[in-house]
Amino acid sequence: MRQLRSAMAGVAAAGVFFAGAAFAQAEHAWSKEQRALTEDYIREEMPPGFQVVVAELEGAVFADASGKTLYSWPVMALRNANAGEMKGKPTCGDTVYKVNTGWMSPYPGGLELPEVETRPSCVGAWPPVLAAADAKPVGKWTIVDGPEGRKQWAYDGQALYTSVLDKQKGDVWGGTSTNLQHDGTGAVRWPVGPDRNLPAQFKVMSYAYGRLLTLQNEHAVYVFDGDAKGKLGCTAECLERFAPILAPERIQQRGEWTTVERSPGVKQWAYRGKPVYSYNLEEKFPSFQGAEEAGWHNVYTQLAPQFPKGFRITDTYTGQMLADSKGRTIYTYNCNDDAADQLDCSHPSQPQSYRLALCGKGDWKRCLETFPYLTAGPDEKSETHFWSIKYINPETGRWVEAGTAGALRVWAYRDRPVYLCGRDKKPGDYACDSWGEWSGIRNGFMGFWIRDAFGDNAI
Amino acid sequence: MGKILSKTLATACALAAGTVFASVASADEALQNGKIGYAMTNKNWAVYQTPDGKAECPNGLNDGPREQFDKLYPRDKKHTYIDTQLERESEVWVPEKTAETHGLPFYEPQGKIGIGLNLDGKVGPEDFTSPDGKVTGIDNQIYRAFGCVASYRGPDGSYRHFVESYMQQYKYNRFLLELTGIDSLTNDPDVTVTIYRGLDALLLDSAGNFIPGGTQRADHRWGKDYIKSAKGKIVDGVLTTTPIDIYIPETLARGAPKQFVRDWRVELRLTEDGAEGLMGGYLDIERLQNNLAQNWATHFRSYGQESIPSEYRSFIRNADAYPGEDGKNAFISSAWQIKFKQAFIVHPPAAVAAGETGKGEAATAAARQ
Repeated sequence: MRQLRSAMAGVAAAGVFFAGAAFAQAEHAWSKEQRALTEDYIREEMPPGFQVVVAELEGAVFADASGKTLYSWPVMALRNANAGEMKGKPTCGDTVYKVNTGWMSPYPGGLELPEVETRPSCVGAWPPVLAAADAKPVGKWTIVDGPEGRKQWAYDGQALYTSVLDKQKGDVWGGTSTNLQHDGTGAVRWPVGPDRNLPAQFKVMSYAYGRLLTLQNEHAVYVFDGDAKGKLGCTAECLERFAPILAPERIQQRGEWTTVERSPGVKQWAYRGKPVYSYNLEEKFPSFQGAEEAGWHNVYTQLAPQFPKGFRITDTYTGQMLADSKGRTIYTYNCNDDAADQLDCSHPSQPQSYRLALCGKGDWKRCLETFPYLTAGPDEKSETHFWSIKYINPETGRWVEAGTAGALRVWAYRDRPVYLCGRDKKPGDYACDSWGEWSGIRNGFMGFWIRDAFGDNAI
Repeated sequence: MGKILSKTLATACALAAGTVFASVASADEALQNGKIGYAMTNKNWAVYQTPDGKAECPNGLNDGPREQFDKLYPRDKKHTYIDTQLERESEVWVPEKTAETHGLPFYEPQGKIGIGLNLDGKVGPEDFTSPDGKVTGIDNQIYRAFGCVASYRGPDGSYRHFVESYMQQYKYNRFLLELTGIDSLTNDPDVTVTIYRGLDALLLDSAGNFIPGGTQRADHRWGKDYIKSAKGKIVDGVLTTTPIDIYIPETLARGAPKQFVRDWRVELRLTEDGAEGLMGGYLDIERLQNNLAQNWATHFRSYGQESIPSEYRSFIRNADAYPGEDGKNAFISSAWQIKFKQAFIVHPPAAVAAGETGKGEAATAAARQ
């Protein structure tokens, strides 16, 4: 495989994204230039017809010639079985499954699935990325034998698919790296992209504010306002709290990664021109804790799409949540079914029976009381791809065209409506978090976490 | 300097006089400036149990989600996902508000013996009497719902196991009591008891036992809702407090709800090393049901054969206080058996400067809505 090193030069220190002590406010203070910076990745040779698209939330993802994001379905351990695909052995076929598997405890298998008459096959929901008869493998890109005699592309051994939910370049509606990784989620699909251009000590994790830079052990990475060019500001007592992240003696500087000499012969990594540190007092990994010290900031390789104007970050008794302009906590709905092909059921185009059972015992009117849609005001408008305003039929739960009788104009995140909770009474309440099967992860509602100071819903 | 000298002298004397004196020295350290702190280490619903359970649960223990599913939907017939799994889950999340069991038996403890506190000062027909017969009028109707559920019975009920396990594993649920204005751990007619949520792990010895002497940072940032104060008195080493409304930080696997408790109070035997006894109060049955479901999914509830839909119906049957808009009781009397270890509670300087310590307000009426 031929890897082309990024030609991207290191950018000015001002390009480092930060979230400091007052990060709720700082989030909105990020400049247009900062927002325009994207995560660097390692250029690699690809078969003809593929491309890399830098998506708003996910960073660099592979896409087909039409711009549709590519996904894989790696094996995941569920409670009673494993689901997904092993490397080199795709199983997603044209069988239309009629019953559940019982792979998610405690309920048994053999139950007829909701809306079974219109349920698609696996390939109906996840069209495989087919390889032409004369296609040749390139680097990590190989050709594998799929069900029904198909030849399909694979990356790093995992068969590749597109999602019928994605309609245009930059859509990543089929799956997200921001998903909680938990045996309760079911075996979900993941967007596939090139390796990030990072030194081996680092990795990137997706969170509400963007792609957060961490060490491999998930300690957050920080930068310091007191570090000026040619002079390090964190010395002496400061080093009791923050540890410089040292670079190996023999390294090649790469892309946005350079080094500064902390003391003779001792090199410290710098990202986008700023020396980087970990926080010695960090109690959970990763966290915002170091950024609570004056002048210190978390580091993002790419910022997430800006929240809609007027949305707020509210303090709760465990951390922070995203709220609407009135301070009401916002919720998302998660769903993955229990059939062998583990299809998504969280989107308005998919079966609504799962959601309606948990919010209203099948009664859509009751759901409008327990989990009302977050409606958009007449003057509100969407400024990003991931946050949009759409029209929904509250009875069917389906997207409809503007002007449709009875339709509600609602906010959507990742092309799915967001909700409020009928039980929340004041800013900071989140009575409907973890609501549903497997605490809302498998089929249910989760609060839009910004910061979880105690658990693992966010950093 | 004086403190160091005093400590040295105490240690020397303890070596000479033996462990009794050592204990006094420890008390001297724990009770400083009229203040002592405790961190909760154990909390279990107060469930009265006989050795074989036959006295209180003559019909045996209750079915859980798996057993009920099999009874409702026999395997030899075809069923739909909507009519079975989703129907059962909807009963967890948006339950029918009824005490009817719809053919699913639910066994509530029998007899008059129970553990807990007399919350209303009265002796009613449904109240319990303590196992030693000394306390009458015990209000602990939640025992009717939990007493014959395997999950809540000791020593190995799965809920009990995980609550204790998570007491060590997580910090969200750290529950602190700080006693101020205290002259003696034996008798003091007027002390202030303030609840805080703590931010630190519990102190353990090498065998995994909780030990006194740890440090706990009080959470004045995220945990402001938990800061509540009550007046109390100590008589013959037992602390009792006046009723106040509080929140308890509950946590299990995923959710992190706070439990609203009305008229909460404690009865704790205090020592310099810890405290042990009971706490009681009234729980909003809607919030309780919700918190149970959020805390632990049906899968986990199945471990201990615990059916939340059945328990909810029992809550409705046995709710005994604070009627709601429909005139029916919306709260249920409850009791927990609790243990604490002494801990040094520290407050951030800003909270001390702002006078935020030792005077939390009781929950407002708005919080009860």
